[in-house]
Amino acid sequence: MINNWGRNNTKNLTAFRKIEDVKGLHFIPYGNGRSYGDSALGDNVLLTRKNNRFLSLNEDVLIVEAGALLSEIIDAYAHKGLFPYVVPGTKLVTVGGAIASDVHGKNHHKEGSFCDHVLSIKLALPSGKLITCSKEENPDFFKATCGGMGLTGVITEATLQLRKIPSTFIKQASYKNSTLEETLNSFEAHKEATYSVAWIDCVASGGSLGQSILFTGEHAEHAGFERSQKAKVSVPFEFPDFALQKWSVSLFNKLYYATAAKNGYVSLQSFFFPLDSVKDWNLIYGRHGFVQYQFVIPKENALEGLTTIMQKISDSGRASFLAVLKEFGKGNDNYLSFPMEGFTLALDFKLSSGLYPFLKELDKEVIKLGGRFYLTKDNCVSKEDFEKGYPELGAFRAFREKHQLQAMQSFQSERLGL
Amino acid sequence: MSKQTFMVIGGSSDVGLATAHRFALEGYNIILTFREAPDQLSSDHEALINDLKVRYQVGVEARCFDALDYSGKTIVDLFHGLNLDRITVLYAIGVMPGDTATTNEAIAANYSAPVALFDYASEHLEGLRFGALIGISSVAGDRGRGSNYHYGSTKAAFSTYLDGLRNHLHDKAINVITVKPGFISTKMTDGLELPERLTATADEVADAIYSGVQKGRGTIYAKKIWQPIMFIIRHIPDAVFKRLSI
Repeated sequence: MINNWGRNNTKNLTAFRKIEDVKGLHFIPYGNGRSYGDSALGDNVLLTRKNNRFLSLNEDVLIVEAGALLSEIIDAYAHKGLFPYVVPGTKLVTVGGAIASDVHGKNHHKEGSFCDHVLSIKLALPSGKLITCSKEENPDFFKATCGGMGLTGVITEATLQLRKIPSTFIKQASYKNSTLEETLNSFEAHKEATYSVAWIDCVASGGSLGQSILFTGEHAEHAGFERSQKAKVSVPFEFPDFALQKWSVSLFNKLYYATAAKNGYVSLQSFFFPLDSVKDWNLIYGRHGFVQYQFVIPKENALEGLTTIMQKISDSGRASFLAVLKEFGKGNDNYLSFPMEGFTLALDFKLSSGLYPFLKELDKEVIKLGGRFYLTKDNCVSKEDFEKGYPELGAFRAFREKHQLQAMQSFQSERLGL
Repeated sequence: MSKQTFMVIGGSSDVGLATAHRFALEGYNIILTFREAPDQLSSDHEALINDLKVRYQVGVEARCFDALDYSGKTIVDLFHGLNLDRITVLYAIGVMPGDTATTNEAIAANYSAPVALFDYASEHLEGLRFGALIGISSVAGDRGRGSNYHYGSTKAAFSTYLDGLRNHLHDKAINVITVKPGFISTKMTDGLELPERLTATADEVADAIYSGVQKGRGTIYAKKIWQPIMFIIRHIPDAVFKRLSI
């Protein structure tokens, strides 16, 4: 079943397996279906997941076909001391998808995003031409492709700089914060940590608004190597619509806040990919699916801006669990890469009536604060609001035109005129 | 301890290749057989061999075996030079008679060829202390069905052979495993609507085979639900069964 991770697509699409078969059509590559919105969906999709061969490993430099999952890289090498430099909250994304979204992880404030560790990319253009790009070779293609949502051609291969790790464990520390201000200060106080992220309660209001747990982590020395484990638990069916109510989420959040703050050695899996341990977790949002909403706002507006936005979310009663706050470091110069210096908040909303108008309200706040939206999560932002957040969008559009890449089209790119 | 070797007869089968990945992950050296000689492999086959090497950093070798065209010497050559403590062999070739193969070809590929191979292996290579001999059979062999009894009967013969071989080799501590995967989602079944609960992926079959070898199992169903299903199907009286269109 071809759908996005939010399971909210209702439009028809046709799937192809071979690049020859989409010649002359408008299409978008589709990897492992982990984008939440409509960025990898279109009238025609090219399935790339099966092109997942490993091509060479030279010490810590890996060349793979772009359909390989980060989990495949981790399964093959983590216990031998190599790990991707940047990992998002799920390892079940393809390398091609990670590049197209220029995904970020818990180390963005120190080490940048995924593409900052990509040494080169092979790209098949809709014309059939193959090109290689990197920071040195065809740099404009590299800047457009990294974070370019698959709209510059089909990423077929990538050369990745891996990280040498001293064990398969993370030394985790956690810090409870009872207000939003404390939370933001806590990030500041731990900015030297390699990894940091906060779970933040978007249901709590009043004096508890913005209560959170900040987790930091370092690769643990002398802790040994263990092989990664497969998902053991799965969500067996779509949850009924009444399962996620304000009271049940609120209860979950209270329990989580009371119990989750743990210190000590944890596995890579539980530090980076806790949700991957529950296969098909997206089914808990029921048959209508959900929307994930993620934005970033500049640091100087963070306290005031997040207070306003979180108050709105809390008042709406729509918030779900799993809201994640993260401090970004400086962004890179790719045209459409999402990260920029500031704070990013990501949270799920179960799809229900009135949600889109509510998100529209939030969009306005984010834009007013000088923020922007993450295309990989986005499902509904307006063209106008999107454009305001991305000053390089014009350059990206001009690049697509110059190289005649308009055959690459997703529902998202059509909606936003990318 | 010297490295163990896992040999897949039928390296281009989805299940065979997935199982090679599973054993390579555990550090086994891998031998894959193809119909072509090693120096005439397609670029696709070369790429899948390279993939195994890069991913798992183990030795991977291609050898030649054609289930429809082999001789005693081919079989001797297949095992030639394998001076190893332990080797596990998986026979993963399966042919469906119909458009692409005749019934005779299916009998040869699904029954005669693995019998020749496993007979040779068990008689001549005892000194190597086999890890296991594994055959991919099918639930289709558990009872003849009107829709595919030619295929089913080749698998029935193969299953019965494997049962007997297991019995015969019991004293020599060589395990023989019969794999009955049920429905598998592979390139063969691409596009067919298969019931999800009954359908295993090639990776799931590979996991089941690896754990079956570790636990010394005899017969493996990739999805456990097939065991009760086939128990019932085997016990439906003929008078009723012949009226069913399954």
